[in-house]
Amino acid sequence: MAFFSIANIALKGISAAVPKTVASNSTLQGYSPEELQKLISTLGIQQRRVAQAGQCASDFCMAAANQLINELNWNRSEIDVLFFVSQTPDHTLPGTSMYIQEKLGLSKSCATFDINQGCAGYVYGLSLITSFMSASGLKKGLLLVGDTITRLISPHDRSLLPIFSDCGTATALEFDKSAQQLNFNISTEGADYQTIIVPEGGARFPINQNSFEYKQTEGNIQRQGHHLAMKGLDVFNFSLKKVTPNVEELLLQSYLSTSNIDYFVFHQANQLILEALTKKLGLDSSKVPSSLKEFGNTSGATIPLTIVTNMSAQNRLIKAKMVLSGFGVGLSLASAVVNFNQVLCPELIEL
Amino acid sequence: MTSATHDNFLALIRNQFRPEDREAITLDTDLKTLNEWSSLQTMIIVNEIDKAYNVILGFEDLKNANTVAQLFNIVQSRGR
Repeated sequence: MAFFSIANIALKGISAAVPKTVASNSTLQGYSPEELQKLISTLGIQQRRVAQAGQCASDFCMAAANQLINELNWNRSEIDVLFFVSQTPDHTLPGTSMYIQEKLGLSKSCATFDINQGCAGYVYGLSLITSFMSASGLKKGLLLVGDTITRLISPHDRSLLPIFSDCGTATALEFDKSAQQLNFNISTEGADYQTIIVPEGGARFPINQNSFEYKQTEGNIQRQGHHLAMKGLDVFNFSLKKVTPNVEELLLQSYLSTSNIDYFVFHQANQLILEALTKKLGLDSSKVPSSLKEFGNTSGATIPLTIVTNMSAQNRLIKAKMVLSGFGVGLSLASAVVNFNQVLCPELIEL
Repeated sequence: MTSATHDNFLALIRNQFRPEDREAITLDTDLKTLNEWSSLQTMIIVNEIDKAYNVILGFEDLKNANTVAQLFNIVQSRGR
C-alpha cells in the first residue's frame, strides 16, 4: 500500500472545459425505448459531450488553464511546473505538455511532464505535482487532466458509446507553508492491465492493415484493433471490491472518519457504481456529488469536472474537506484527502 | 444480510427482468439465453446479489454458471 502525505502545497483553483456538442443517450440507435430507459437509469447518463474533429484534450485543458490563470491573476512567467495527464495526447511524440507550455505562454524554465493515466489520473496527477513542488520548493504549478476518449470508441460498440464523454480540466497549485497536508493512498493491479485497453497502435502491436478490420465480439459489438475495449463486469467487480477498502484505509491512516469529510468525489464511472460506493461506505448521498447525468464518464477529468459543475454556481471559493477517489484503467486506484481552503472554482467553459 | 435460499434468489433474479418475462425464469433457466441479457444486465444482477448477499460475482462466475441454480450455488458457497 502506498500511503503518503505531502506538506506545504495548497490548491488555489479548479476549472473545466467541455465540448459544446451534446450527444443524447435517449436518441441512441439500435435500442428499444424500454432498453434506453433502463440504460439511462442504470448508468445515470442522459447526455454526453463529444469533441469535434480538430479538438484535442489539450485544447480543453488549455481553455480551462487560461481561465484559471486570468482569474487568479497569476503571472504566466511564475508558473514553474506543468503536468499533463491524458491517454489521448496530441501526438505519440513529442509529449503534449511541451506544446501546452508554448501555447499557454509559460516560461522556458517551466518543467513539463506527460503522464499516461485515465480514470485514476486526477488523483495520480495531484500526487505527482504536489510531491514535486513540495520536494523542490517550486512556487506555482498547473495540473492539466483531460481526455477525448470518444475518439477511441467504435461507432458499433453498444457497450461503450452511452458512457464516455470528453473534457479537459486545470488545477492551480501553490507552495504554501500554512497549507494542510494532502494524504494519498495509491494502488495498482497490473495483472488486470487488459481489462481496459486499446490493444493496437502502440509499440507492442503496431497498427497494421488488419487493425482496420471490424471484429465481432460478445454482445453484438464490433471493434477495430485501435478501438477501446473494456471488460465492463470486471471493472465493475474491481470498483465494488477495491475502492471501499482503499478509501477506508486512507481515512484510517489520516485519523479521520467519514463524518469528518464534507464531500466524497468519486470517479464518475456510472450511477450503479456511485450508488454502490455510497452505500458500502455508509455515506449520505448529499455528500457524494455527481456530474454523470449531463456529462457522462469523462475519464480522468470526472473528479475536477464534478467539483466545477456542482460547486462553482454555489460558491466560487470552495472551502471544504474532500475525499477524491479515482479508479479504472491499469487497473489503478488512487484516493486522497484534500483540504479545499478558498479554492477558486469558476464556471464551466464550453468550446 | 439475508442468507441465500432457492426462493429468495430466484425472486431476486426474476425482479431484474421485465414483468412479462419473469414467470418463465426458473432455477433451470440459462440467463444468457434470455433476450434481455446484456453487459448492463449482468452489472445490475451482480450489484443486486452484492446488496442482498454480500457476494461479488465476477465475469468468470457468470460465464461458468449455465443456470440460475448454478449461480445460486456459487453465491451460497461464498456467502457468510
